[in-house]
This record gives sequence, structure tokens and C-alpha cells, in this order.
Amino acid sequence: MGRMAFLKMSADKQDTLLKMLVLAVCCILSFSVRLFSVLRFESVIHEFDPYFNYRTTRYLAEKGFYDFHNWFDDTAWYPLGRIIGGTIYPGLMVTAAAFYNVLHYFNITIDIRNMCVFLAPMFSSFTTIVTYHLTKQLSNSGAGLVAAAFMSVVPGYISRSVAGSYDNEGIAIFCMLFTYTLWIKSVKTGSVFWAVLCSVAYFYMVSSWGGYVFLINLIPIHVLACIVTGRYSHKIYVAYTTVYSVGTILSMQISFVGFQPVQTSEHMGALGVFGLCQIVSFINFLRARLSSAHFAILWQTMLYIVGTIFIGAVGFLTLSGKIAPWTGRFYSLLDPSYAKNNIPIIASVSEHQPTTWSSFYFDLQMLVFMFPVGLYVCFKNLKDYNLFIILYGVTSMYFAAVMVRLMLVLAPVMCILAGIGVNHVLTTYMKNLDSVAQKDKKGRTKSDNSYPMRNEVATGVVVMMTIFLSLFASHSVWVTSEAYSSPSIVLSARGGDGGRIIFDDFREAYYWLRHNTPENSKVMSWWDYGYQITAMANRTILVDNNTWNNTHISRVGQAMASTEDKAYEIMRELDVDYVLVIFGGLTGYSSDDINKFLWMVRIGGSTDRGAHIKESDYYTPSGEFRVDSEGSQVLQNCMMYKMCYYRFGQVYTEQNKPTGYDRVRNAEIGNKDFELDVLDEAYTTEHWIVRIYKVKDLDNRGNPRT
Amino acid sequence: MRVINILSIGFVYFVLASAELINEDVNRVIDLRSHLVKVTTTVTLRNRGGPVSEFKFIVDPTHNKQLAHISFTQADDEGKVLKKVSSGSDDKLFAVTLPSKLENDGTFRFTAEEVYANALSPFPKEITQSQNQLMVYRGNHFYYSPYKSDSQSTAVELPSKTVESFTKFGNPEKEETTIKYEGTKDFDNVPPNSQNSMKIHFENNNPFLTVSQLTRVVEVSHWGNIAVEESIDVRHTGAKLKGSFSRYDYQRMPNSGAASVKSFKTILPAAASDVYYRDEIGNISTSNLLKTDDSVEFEIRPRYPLFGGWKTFYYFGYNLPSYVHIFIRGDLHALKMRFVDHVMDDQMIEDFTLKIILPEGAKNIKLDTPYPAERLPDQLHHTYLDTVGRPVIIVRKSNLVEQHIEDFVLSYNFNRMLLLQEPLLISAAFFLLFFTVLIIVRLDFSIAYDQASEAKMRVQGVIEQVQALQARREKCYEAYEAAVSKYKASKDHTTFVNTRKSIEKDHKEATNNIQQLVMKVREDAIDTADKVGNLNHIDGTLRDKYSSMMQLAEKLISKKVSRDQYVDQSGKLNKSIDDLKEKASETVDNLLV
Repeated sequence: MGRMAFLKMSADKQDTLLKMLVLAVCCILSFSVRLFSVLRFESVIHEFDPYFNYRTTRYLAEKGFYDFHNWFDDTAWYPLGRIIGGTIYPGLMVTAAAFYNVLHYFNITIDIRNMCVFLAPMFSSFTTIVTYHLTKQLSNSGAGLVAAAFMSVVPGYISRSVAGSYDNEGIAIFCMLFTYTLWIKSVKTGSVFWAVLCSVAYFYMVSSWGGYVFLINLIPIHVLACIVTGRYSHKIYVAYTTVYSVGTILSMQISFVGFQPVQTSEHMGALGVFGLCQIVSFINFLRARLSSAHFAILWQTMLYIVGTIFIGAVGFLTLSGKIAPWTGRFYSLLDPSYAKNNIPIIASVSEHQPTTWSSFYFDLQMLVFMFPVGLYVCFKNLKDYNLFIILYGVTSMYFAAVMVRLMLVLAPVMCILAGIGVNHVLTTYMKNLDSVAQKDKKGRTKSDNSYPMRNEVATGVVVMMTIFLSLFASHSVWVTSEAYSSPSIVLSARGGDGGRIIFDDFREAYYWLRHNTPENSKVMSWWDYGYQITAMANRTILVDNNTWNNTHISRVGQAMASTEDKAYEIMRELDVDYVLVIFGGLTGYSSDDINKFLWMVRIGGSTDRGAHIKESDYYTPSGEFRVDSEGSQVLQNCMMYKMCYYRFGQVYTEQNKPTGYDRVRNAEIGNKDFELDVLDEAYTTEHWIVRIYKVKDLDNRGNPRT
Repeated sequence: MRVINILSIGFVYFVLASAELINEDVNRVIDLRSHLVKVTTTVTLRNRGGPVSEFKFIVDPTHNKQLAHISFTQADDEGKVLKKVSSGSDDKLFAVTLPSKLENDGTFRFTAEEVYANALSPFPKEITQSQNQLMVYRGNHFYYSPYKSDSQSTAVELPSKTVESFTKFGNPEKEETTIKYEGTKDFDNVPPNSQNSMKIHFENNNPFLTVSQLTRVVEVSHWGNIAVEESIDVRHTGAKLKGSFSRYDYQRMPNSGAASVKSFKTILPAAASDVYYRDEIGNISTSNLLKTDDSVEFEIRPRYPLFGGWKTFYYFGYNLPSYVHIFIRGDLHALKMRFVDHVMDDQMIEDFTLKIILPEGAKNIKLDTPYPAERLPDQLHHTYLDTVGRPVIIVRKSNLVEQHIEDFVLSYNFNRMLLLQEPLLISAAFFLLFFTVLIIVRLDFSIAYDQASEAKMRVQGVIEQVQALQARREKCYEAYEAAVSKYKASKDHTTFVNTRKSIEKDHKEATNNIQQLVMKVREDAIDTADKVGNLNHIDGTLRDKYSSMMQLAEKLISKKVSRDQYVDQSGKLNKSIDDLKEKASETVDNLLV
């Protein structure tokens, strides 16, 4: 009877039911596949930046929007402080706080931390739905469903949106795809209504991620491509002019963005295309009304005049500083080697490194192969809006190759194009599979001479595709579980007896700072740990992950790279009470401060005051970075070395190895027996991963400490 | 203030003296083994005057401000607790009621148990990690009493053999970990209110943990669960850590950090389940839970060892089944639970707040505490599926020790029908949701008239009607078959003819209706009309088959054909009927596609 009820539904209803079922399953899947870390560890915020976002969200939820907007945070960047409201993209915090307030209005008393932890998985469910709609606009709903299914498990996106990874990207991908969907819709309809909705979505995107720059360049490129290929129409004119003008005005309401959309060169492309649209429309208008001879004369004159004025104006504005110079991050997008050569602080971030081939496969797997298929399908059936997804695919492919972090922008378009490709292949061959049913009267399968083995080939392709798809699914789950679900604040390892050992040293140290140091103490650490210290230890820090002041970071780098007496001067100057270092030599935790030390040296030496710090001094004569007795003397007497290895020379770490054997560098340390003159060991965590030192006060009699 | 105190004590003494009670024998044990000072005094009273019904007890003025707990029990009779009334201000003077009147020359033995908090002070105040913690106790060599004492003895129990110094009044003896002040004539015939300062400087590496603030939240649910959560601020009140903390020494040296606290045990009720242990920044993974028969032992290890002056904050919680703690008679409910529970051995809680969250709709709330406590104004708590909010009863008390672990009783009226409120709320919410979706999906809000979709919907409607009518016709087919078999059995010709007529009438009606529908649908969808026409054609053939089958049956009954012939012909007919029926149902299913 149930089967009958289903069959009696009209085709439309069956279609809707199936689509909704598939989408619902995709949504649930995309939410639940991101919960590995919650199940394995706990509902905890991950890594570094999310801690800042979490802290600001809590502030916003407690104090309200205006206090948040005017918040001057004096616990960061001591003694400079930071105006939080004006230096962040508030979209993420506002979203989380809005959900929080609405739920609390209905007496659903969810904790703000849980709201933050589960926001990214929730938004990835939304992204799945948006992907479906976007792909449906571009191709058909079948492709939409495949793309949505891809999107729900693609590792490239999961890497930034697992539960606890409470970062801008978590919601920005949703905003981006949503804006694209509305853009396609407005290009298709040429209606102001959709264009305005698109600019509102663009506003949300601007409010949540700096990556909006990609979007505001991609849309003009699309328009430009349409103009060049002769696809320019009134629809595009209406859509673009509305989106650009409304979107730009809206985006300028975000105080962090301010006047950038009309001043900086990143946004000039959009403005230029906006102008071009007017000109092209005007020319079309004239052409319709003038004879071709007159038109030719006018065309040449106008070209010269406008060209001169334009170049002159741009030149003047750039020289007079009205148009901001190209920022470093943008240069490093265009020229992968730019950052490494010029700005050490950008190059020091691992997610700014160029992407390797293996990580493409790791993050996208079969999408890498299906992407060209989708491109082919789009080219075969080229439309105004298909052009957009082609451009999106090609540009984001380039950017993703430049910076690992931008894999995130590539992943959605990979899903969409691969979805279109897979859908195309499957629909083509599935039809041939149907021919099985067509038997002739004697029960034999009809054979088509023009296409031998038609059914077998189709079966083969479909089976192969099924295998690929299921391999993709299992690969994605495996990658998520193995690579992207570690909170990095809690580490775990397998013990000798197979049991799980938890290293909770970070929180141990931060909690110690929170409860056992004076409330106004200033903690110096490398900038990586800044956000975590303010959020978990609630103490003032000198530098944090918002690396806006290079000289300040450089000063901290100098303190770490100097000898004790020099460092003491710097620490007194910076009013430091505690110094925190991360040390993995005992446990084998490899991303510790000794391994990051060369960056401190480089950044420390990159300003005038740190000119005496030279990277080459920290290497052996043969150019190696070694901590053992053959290492450079400068290295073995600098603050960082001493803080990490203080009393480590007495510790046995491994069997059959001498004392002081560093398990990360696999070497016996060179300088074992030394005392600290200007510091006291204040706290060292159970596995020695975090070590906190107290800076001694000046001697009562004014004698030097060293 | 002091003058008044002395005056009042003097006054009291004057009044009491007329009762003529004396302490015949006093045995005092001062326990300094933990961070609390526990004084247990066993006194034999003798009455030298007229009958008395109570005696007085004054807390020793040397440390009466630190008094955390006092109780009196009858020494002979299995520790029956004696009623005490605090007279005078600040709980320093007690009038203890005797179980029966004490006649002239009668004796009575009682035990007074006093617990003092913060009565030990570290000396030196700061120690390094490798040093032992030394404490100074300042007390009284005498049992402080408003009555004269015939003989007194005092034993001081220490945590270790190491003693820096102790006062030598009355030539005390020191054995192992005990110092005894007794036996000499200094302790005989002690006049009332005698004081002689005692000072003991000794080593004490036992945990000096003080809970500065404890909030205990008990959330009662009538669905069978009581959730308890305690948030705790702990600090180490021993000698402060001086200089650096060396992890190397702490891990490798045997006696390093002797005075620090690595972990302690909390004992939870035996029924406790789903225990969690967290703090402001997340879960604390270093803890162990051991279930025994009559309790759950919960070994709490703070994130870092607690040295002198260090503090930490954590919270933990667990669930209890409500049948253990809630007693019901009609609407009246009584919640009987511990006012304060065990946190650690020798616990000392400076500031304690108990919050009891009752289910929504609880009325006439009455709280009965085992000892006086300050009741703060009630509040409302809003959480999942609440409308008006749950009543919260808040009680506060300071300076609690282990002896305060006693039950409170909270009685309230609760209509159990209110339990239905939550499921009803959920159902209503879902109903509303589905209803809204229904409205949006089913009703057409568009202003424009869409010809194509209207036509489609009309066809849809017609198809549904056709399906219903076809189902009716299928019933007719079955009726034909039933009529034939019945006729064959009963051979009743008239009934058969009547039945046949009525079925045929029904059949015709259905067919006519379908035909009308076909006319209707022809404008909107020709192919559907064709399909229905085809269906009608099949039906017509079927009807013919059935009528020939019935004729055949009539012939059989009237013996016009032989049985063999009948079987042969009806077999053929049945086969073609089955084929046709299958075809018809296939056509119906395909109508929609």
C-alpha cells in the first residue's frame, strides 16, 4: 500500500519529495561529519583565531552591540591597545550573538560557547542548500543535488568549518555562494529586485570576511568578459550597476572597510568596470542613433580624451596617496614569491604558503578530475551565467595554487563544476541503461548496430562513477577524521599500551595564569599564542594574531633572540611581567617555539632597532640550524634557547640517550648547565609544553641583574 | 567592645556561680593534624547546689572568632545530641539543656566538639618549593570554663614528629606525635575562666585547602531527575610559595612540594551518575571516578598542583534519580537532600550558597534547614520550554565544615498535570510549523493567473477521481466473481440475477462518471484523455468477459454444458480476465506519468 501511495503521487510531488530528502540528508551529513572533534574531545573552540572570535562574541552577547562597536581592548597590544569594533569584520560575531539572543528569547538557554562551536557546522548545512540552488541556476537540479552532496563532505571546506573552528571562513563561504546565487539570478532576470538582494548578501559577505575582495573582483571580471565576448545586455547592465552601487555603499558601513572601496587599488577594478558599463551603454545608444561614419569619428576622439583623463587621474591619485598602495597580502596573491622576499610576517604563517600538488588531491580528491568535465559541459553549453562559473573556477584555481588558505575558495567551485560534470555523465549513460527494459516480443534484448554494447558500456560507466563517488565519500570522512578534527588546544597521542594520552598543557598553563597572576600582569609570548592567552588566561599581552604592528612584533622577536641582559632591557621597556614559551622537546611536539625561532630572528631583525640581529649568526658555519653542542653560540645564549631548555639538561627523555635529549630536533642540547639571571621559572606544565617565567624586578640596590 | 565582652563574661560568671556546678574531670584533645583545629572535650559535671536543668559553655576567647562548628553530646548514652541555645551575641556563649534535671551531688558527662578554621598560621609565612610547611598554634593550656575544675588534662595531636617548639607549662610529655599536658598540680583545682597561652610550632604538610566560595545548584525535574552542580573556588591557605616553581624538582625530587596539593577526593552520593568536571575554559581531563557500594569516589585533580597562595576554580555536576530524594503525598512534595555535600576531607567552606530550582508551577514553598541560614529573596529561572519561569530558592551560609553535612527538607505543592505542559508545548510548536508550511505550500498566494499550472492542477484532480472510480470498478469485478461462485454453490437463480443486476448498475454508473471526466479532461490534456479512453476500452472487454462467464455459469447450472466443457471454457476466460485486470491497473498507474 505504501508503495502504491508513493506511486500515486504526481511526478512533481515525487520530484520535490526526492529533492527534499536528498538535500535534508546532505544537510544532516554536512553537520554531523564535522562533529568528530566534539565527540573525541569536547565542545571546545579550536586553534588560535577562533579564540579571539569567541571572546569578542561573548563580549557582544553580554554587553550589546554599541558597547561592542566602541570597545577599546586594553588587554591586547600592550601598551597600544586595540579598537576592536573598528578592526574586525563583525559578521561572524553578530551572527552568533543574534542566534544566541533569539534562542534565549525563547528560553532555549544554550551556552554561548556551544553556539560558537556549532555555528560553523550549522552554516555548512546552509552552504549545502545554497550550493544546490546555485548549481541549479547554472545547470539543473540534478547537478545541484550532486554538487550539494559534494559540498557537504568536501575536505577543503571541512578543514575550515569543523565544530569548534569558529572563524570568519565558517560563515563567509555561505555568504559568498549566496551572493553568487543571487548574482546569477539577477543576471538571468535583469531585475533590480534580485540585484538589490544580491548587494545585501554582498554586504553580509563584506561584514564577515576580508575575502570579499575576491568577490568584488570576480563579478566585474564576469561583466567584463560578457562585454568582451559580446554578451553584454541590458540585463547585465541593470544587475551590475545596481549591485555595484548599492553593494559599495553598504560595504562602506562596515567600519573596518570604511573608504577602502573607493580608495584602494583592490577595489578599482570594480569601479572601472562600472564606468565601462556606462560608456558601453552610451556607445550603444549613440550607435543606434548615429550614422556609422559619424560614429567612427566620435569614437576615436572620445577614446583619446577619456584615456588621457583616466590615466592622469589614476596617476595623480596614486601619487597623492589617495589610492592606497597595493597591500602586501594582495601582492603575495599575484606573485607567490613576493611575500617571502619582502614581508617575513606574512611568509611565517603556514597557511600563506603555496599549495602543493598533493594537498590538492588531499583536499579535493576526485573533484580534481571531474572539474574539467564540468568546465567542458559549461563551455559546450555556454551562457552568460555559465561564463561566471568558468571564470570563478579558473581564477580561484590560480589563487588556491598561490596560498593554501585559499583552497577554501576553490572547494565550492570544484564541487559545483564537478557536480555538473558528474550529473552530465550520469544522465547521459543512465538513459542508455534504460534500454534494458526495451525487449522485443521474443524476450531478447534489442541490439542497436550503431552503438554496440550500449548497455554494457553504460553499466560500466555508472558502476565506475559509483565507485568513484563512494571512494570520495570515504576519503572525505577519513581526511576529516584524521587531519581536520584536532582542536590543537588539546593534543592526544597513543600511549605504549595503546591507550590514549591527553596533553592538556596549554589550558593548564593558561588557567594557571588566569588564577595565579595579578590581574594586570603583562605576558610576553610569540604572537601565535596572543589570542589564546587573552581569551583563556584573561591577561594582557603584547602581540597577538592580529599582526597589524610589525615593529611591535619585531621588538618581541628581538627580546627572544637577544642575550639575557639585552632582553632584560627590552622587557623592562615593554613592561613585561611574565614570559611564556612553548617547548616540545620533552614530548616531541614539533610546532614549538624553537622551530618557530628563525621567524622570530627574521622578524626581529627586519626593523631598524633590531639591525644587530642577523639570521646568519644563528646558524652553524655550514648553514645549519642546530641546538646541539655544534650549534651557534649566539643561539645557545639567547633568551629563547635558555627559556626553553632551562633545567632540561638534567632530564632523561628517552632510553639509551643522554640527559637533555631533545625529541623534536633529535639532538642532545649543547648548553645544559646554566642559570637564569633575570627570570624566575614561574610555572611549567606537566609535559613541559608551556613554560612561564616571571621577570625579576630591578635589584633593590640598582645593581645590574646579569 | 572588648571591655563589654569581659564585662558580660564576668556577669555571666556571677549569675552562674550560684548554680554551684563544678568540672570534676576534664579531658581535652586538641587535634592539629589537619588545617582545622578540632577540640574534643569530655567533661564530668558535678552539681554542688540546687537542681539545675542546663549548664553554660563559653568558647575559648583566644580563638572564639574562628569557631566554625560546635556541638554537645551526652558522653555516656551513645552520643545523644544535646540541645544548645546561644545566649549572648556572636555565638560565643551557649546554654546547653540537660536531658534531665541534675539533682544535688549528681554528675553528668558530656562531650563538646569544637572545630576552628584558620586557627593555624604559617610560620614562616613563605616557603620555597623544597621546604616543609611549619604552623603555629596559639591556644590555652586550660579548658576555658565558667566553672571551677578539679582536674584537667590536655592532649595535643600533631601530624608528624617534627616539632620546632612548644610551651612547657606544667611540664608536658611528648610521645611520638602527641604532646600531653596533664598530671601535674598546675592542672588541678583550676579556677573558672583561667587562661594561659599555649603555643606550638610544628610541621604540617597536610593539605591546607579552603573553599572560598561554593555555589550548589539543585535542579529538580519531575521527570525523574535531580541535577546537581557545584562551582567551587579553592585556594591553598598554607605558607605561600616563595621563588620559582621548578617542574623538574617537582617531578624528580621525592620531597619537593610536600605542602602542595596534587589531588583530593570528593565523595558523591551512591546514585550519582553522568559526572562531569569542568572549568571556565573547558573539560578537565585529569580525574578519576570510583564507584563503590555506598558512594561514588571522585578523585579531583586540578589542572595544576596547588601551592601556597595558589587558587583555582572548577565546577562539577552529576544527576541523581529523584525517587531517592522526593517524597510525595497527593499534591504535596518534599525534597530531602543534603544542604551541603562533601567536597574534600576536612573541608572548610567560607561562603556557601545553595540554589534550589523547582519545576515550573511549584507553590507554597517551605524550607526547613538543619541549622539557621540566611534565606535570600526567591528568583525565577528560565530554561528550556519554560513560560513563566521556575522558582529558585536561595540560601546562604558562611563557614561550613564537614559537620554541617546534614539534610534540608523543602516542601511544596505541585500539580502533576503540569508535567504535560512541556510535551504539549513541543507538539504545539511542531503543529504550528507544519501548519504554516501547509498553508504556504497548499494555498496559492500569487496575484497573476497561471493558465498552464491551473490546467495541470485540473488534470491532476480528474486523474485522482478516475483512480477512485476505477477502484470502484475493480470492486465490481470482484463482486462478479463472488456472485458466480456463490451461484454455483447455492444454485439460486433469482438471487443471482438480482445481484448481477445491481452490480451491473453500479458498474455502469462508474463507467458513465469516468466518461464524463474524460470529456472534461480532453480540453486540458489530450494524452490523459486517451489513456483514460484506453482504460475504458479494457473495462468494456472485461465486462463482456464477465457476462460470458456468467452465462456460462447459468448454462452449467441448467445443465446445458457438461462440467468438463465448463472447466475448459471458464479456465480460458479467467486467464484473459487476469491479463486484462493487470493491464487496467498498469494503465491506471501510468496515468500520472
